[in-house]
Amino acid sequence: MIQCLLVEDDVEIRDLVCSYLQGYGMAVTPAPTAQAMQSALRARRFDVILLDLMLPDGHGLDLCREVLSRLPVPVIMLTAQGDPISRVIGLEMGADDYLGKPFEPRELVARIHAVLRRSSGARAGLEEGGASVARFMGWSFDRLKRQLISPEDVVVQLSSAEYRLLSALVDNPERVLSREELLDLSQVPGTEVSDRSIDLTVSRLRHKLRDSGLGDGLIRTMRGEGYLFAARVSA
Amino acid sequence: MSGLRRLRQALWTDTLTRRLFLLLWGTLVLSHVLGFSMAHLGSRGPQPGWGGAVLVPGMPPVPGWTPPPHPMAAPGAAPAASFATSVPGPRMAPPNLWLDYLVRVLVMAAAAWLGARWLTRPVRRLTQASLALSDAVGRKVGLPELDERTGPIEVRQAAQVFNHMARQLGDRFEERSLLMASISHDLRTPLTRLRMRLERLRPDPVAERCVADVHDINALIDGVLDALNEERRQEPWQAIDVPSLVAALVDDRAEDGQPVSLKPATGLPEAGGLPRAPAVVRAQPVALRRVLDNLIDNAVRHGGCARVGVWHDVGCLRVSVDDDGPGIPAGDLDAVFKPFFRLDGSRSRDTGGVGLGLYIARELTVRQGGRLALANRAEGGLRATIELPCCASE
Repeated sequence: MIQCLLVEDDVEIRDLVCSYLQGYGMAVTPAPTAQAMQSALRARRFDVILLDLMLPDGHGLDLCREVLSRLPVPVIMLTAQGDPISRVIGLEMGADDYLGKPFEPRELVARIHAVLRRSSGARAGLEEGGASVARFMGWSFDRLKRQLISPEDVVVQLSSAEYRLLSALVDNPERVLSREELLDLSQVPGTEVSDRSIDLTVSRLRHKLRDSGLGDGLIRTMRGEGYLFAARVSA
Repeated sequence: MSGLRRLRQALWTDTLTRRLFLLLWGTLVLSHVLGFSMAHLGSRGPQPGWGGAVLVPGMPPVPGWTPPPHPMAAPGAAPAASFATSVPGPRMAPPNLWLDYLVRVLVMAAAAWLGARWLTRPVRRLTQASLALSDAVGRKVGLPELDERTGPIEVRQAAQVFNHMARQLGDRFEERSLLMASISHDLRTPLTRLRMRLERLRPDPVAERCVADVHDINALIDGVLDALNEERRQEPWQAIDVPSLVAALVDDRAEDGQPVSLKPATGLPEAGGLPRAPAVVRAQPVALRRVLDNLIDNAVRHGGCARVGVWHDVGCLRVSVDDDGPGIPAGDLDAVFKPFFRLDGSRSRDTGGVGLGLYIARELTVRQGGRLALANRAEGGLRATIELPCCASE
């Protein structure tokens, strides 16, 4: 049974979410304040924490940072401030996911399962890759802002597919990755990715990285094997 | 030539500077002339028919000018006159006196002009501060402040009043947006309760419609909060490669299955394949992205599709978003930028959108130093174009 800790100050939302999640076979412990959350965390182990951003006795972001520094529990932030900036800040603080209020109840269940899947396997992205900014050959790649900055200090925007592919490459520098491996590493649920689209994305990414594809660039084609990211990556 | 035109304009338009200049110059010239004529008439008053002799070396008469006889003047009446009588002048003024006169008049003019500028400087500063105020209000960038400690008393008082007014205005705007933000924000808590309760009634068709209403209300809240946050947010400026931004947005939407495509680039410095010369602008990346997102959303929502193109022009870069929709009636092309404006209820109601997209897009474009224009295309459909000043590439 999945053990959830729900930190939420509004009593009605707390009750409604509790009973809804129990309907999906989860055990939910409600906590109205930051203090209640701390004592619940001392009392037992949880699989996931659902954390409201605004609490009467503490701000969710501080709590999130504090909890994550001690416990390896995935955190989903629930917040009424659903703007992109607080989303980035929330993820920077180490939240695993971020859901704006009012949320679709089924979406919440889906996100809980997704977060648990990720945390049971290798924790992808931030934790694994370490720093959120990777540097190579004068380029810098900011994974939180999904931004690539050229050696001339110009912002080069990446599409989601390009971002995922570059993340996979940067995580595995100087190693040949087959198309299948790249597919696995850069796929997200709900999108169809084929071998051909990997090739297309590679060619677009080369274009943006000003790589001619002639064999001396950043992303090298290894005939019959796959692709190689030929640069040393530093944090 | 423009300098001359500006001078003529400065002299012919009714400004405080001109009034003060005329007043000072007129007074100076008149006082000289009067002073001279008084002194002169004091000595030579009884000799009728006199015209244009120089008596006091420092006070030459205007050549050809006949002073009126002074009724009160008597020989030796004034000390100046007794001095004057000792230096009798010729009947015609020598040429160097013309120069003397010209220099005097010009020096007086210069002094009067500088004096007038000096006196009106506080007013000009007030005007500049007022202009800055209209830009600053509501954006939380520093309000202009006038110096309250220097200058004449009246100016200091005006500065105090102005600063007080600017602060009040800034506070009011701040309160207003805080109020809007907190209403919008606090609506989300009851809305979340409502949404959770509706889940219990779910297969009911009425509940389904209520869920759709919850989504509508939330979209409205999103829009208002977005607009307010955009006004207040401060994002660093960076050099941005525009074609890569446009390509990324289009690719993402195409991956999502939306009918969004990229038009082949025209006029871009394409140096025969790779590497291409970048088309770079200096702007705020998130803001610029938001502008393009809004325009593409609108095109897809109201026009059924979006075709995005990047055009290089002299000194600027243009990004156009075309759709195949019905366009906008010519009379409404300006009105659609107003917040919450909708073309007609029936059309927007089923196609969604709260009427803030274009408003935000234009605000942000202007803040990037660019322009946003809408036009109906001759072949049908709407074209939205943003024009951004280009920074020197490479």
